[in-house]
Amino acid sequence: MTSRRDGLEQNYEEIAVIGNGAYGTVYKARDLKNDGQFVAMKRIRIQNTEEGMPMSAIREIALLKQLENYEHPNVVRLLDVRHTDHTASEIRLMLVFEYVDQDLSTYLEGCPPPGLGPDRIRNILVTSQGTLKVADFGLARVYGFQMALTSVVVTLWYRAPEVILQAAYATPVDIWSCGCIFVELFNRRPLFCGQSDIDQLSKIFDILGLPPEDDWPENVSLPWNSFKAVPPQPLEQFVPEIDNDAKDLLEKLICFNPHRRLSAQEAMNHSYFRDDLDSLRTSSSLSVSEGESFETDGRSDTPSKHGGS
Amino acid sequence: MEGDWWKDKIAEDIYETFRIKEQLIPRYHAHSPQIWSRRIIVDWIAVIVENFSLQPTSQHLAIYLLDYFLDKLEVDEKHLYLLAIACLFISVKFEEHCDRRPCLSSVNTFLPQNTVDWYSKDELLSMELTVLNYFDWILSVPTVAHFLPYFLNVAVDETDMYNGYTIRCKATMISYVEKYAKYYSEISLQDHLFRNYNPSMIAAACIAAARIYLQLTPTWPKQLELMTDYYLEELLPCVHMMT
Repeated sequence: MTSRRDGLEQNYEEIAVIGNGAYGTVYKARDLKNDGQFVAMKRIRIQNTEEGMPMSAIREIALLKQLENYEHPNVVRLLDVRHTDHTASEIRLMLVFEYVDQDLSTYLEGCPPPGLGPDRIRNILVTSQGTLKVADFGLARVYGFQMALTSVVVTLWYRAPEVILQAAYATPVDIWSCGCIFVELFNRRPLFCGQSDIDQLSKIFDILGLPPEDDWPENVSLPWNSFKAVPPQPLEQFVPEIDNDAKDLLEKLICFNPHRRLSAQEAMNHSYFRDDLDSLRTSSSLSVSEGESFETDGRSDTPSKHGGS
Repeated sequence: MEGDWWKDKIAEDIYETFRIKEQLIPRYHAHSPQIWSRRIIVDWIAVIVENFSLQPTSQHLAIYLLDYFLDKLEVDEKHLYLLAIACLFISVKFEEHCDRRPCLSSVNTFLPQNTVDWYSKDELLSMELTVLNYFDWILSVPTVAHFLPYFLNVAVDETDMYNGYTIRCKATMISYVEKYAKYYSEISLQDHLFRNYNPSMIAAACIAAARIYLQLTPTWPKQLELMTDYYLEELLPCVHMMT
């Protein structure tokens, strides 16, 4: 069992506050038992309530624990779970993560403006080697066959249309979000910045065009004809730096109909990544030059298929 | 994405992951000195599940947590129901939709009168932590309830014979098979001996038992054999325990 009571302060030395998340504070700290290596500590205060341990804590920890088995290179490591003895009104949970230098927003801030919106991408971390790591699984779920999923998933700007429309949804919603972030890597600002659900949909249709009525999900409260019929706009108008391969990939990631959106596997097989992988395989110097370009305090060029050159 | 989505690659992935994971379920020893109380607690959980319209996946996971916890640790008798509540609350929070969570004060009202006092929020949180620590927070465990809906997709075929006649309405027959398979899956919770079988095997046996009861022939058609990876002969010991 990695979860123990108390003694947490002796093992970890807090250095600085990194952030205040939705339900806790994150500190940068040193693990005194492990040569003082940096760790990130997420401290969660848990009030005693009628429902016991909060759902978000259970899901986040359970999922991270499960993912530990796979040691996925793009998922942040959960090193330890501890909790204080509990007093009458609350306990404190402490999640100890591997320390990652910066989140994607900080990383992109190193790039020239147009600047970022207020909604930062905090859940995607970037190591000094340029490896992406996903963190924060508070709303994540393990897939089963009969799922009732919540409609409050992800920040509005990255939310797939079927979620906003409160239709049935599954893994394609993540591909949509990936498409939005993909654009942001080019533009350094979000693509669809809606102020409300309806506004978000309008902003999506302003660019993608209103989808054909056949693609509109069934049994949703917002009818298809409540939106203006607008034609699709050429994507390069909104993402000037995009090349043809990337544009083709993007179109398939932010496809309105979730059934026709690419799957993760299909996306990985797309020629945009294919070239990237080929050059990785053939160029032995790439890892060095890539490392250097990432270490200039996050300053880097637009993602292009040739390793940011 | 409703309807045929189970045919998709993702459903197959989920299924294969569940099948791998069930291999990792440790052996159940039936060691608990409190095993005499198991049936009472399992039935009580069923009452709570019924009253709060909770999902079978939560119910099955809760009983899994309860069994394996008690297989190693002993709980003060007056805390047995507290353990049951903690197991159920953890399972519901892990398995279900956000807004379908029972709260402690309403569950307290279901406690048997004059035997145990109502539990406090403190006690609940403390017990939940004990359970979570015991399982190292690993809650993604496939149960019979996880496999059953997947197998039910092929539980009835147009070519099935009912008592020697072709079936008139496939949809009606599906709903019958579903109903009885679910009944047998509840039976499988009541006896700890079912822990000797893998959840996927019990789920397949539930469908076999339902088809036998409903006099559907062939008892175990090819599509069920292919979907579940079990021959009827393998399932029979489990089927006999249910019926």
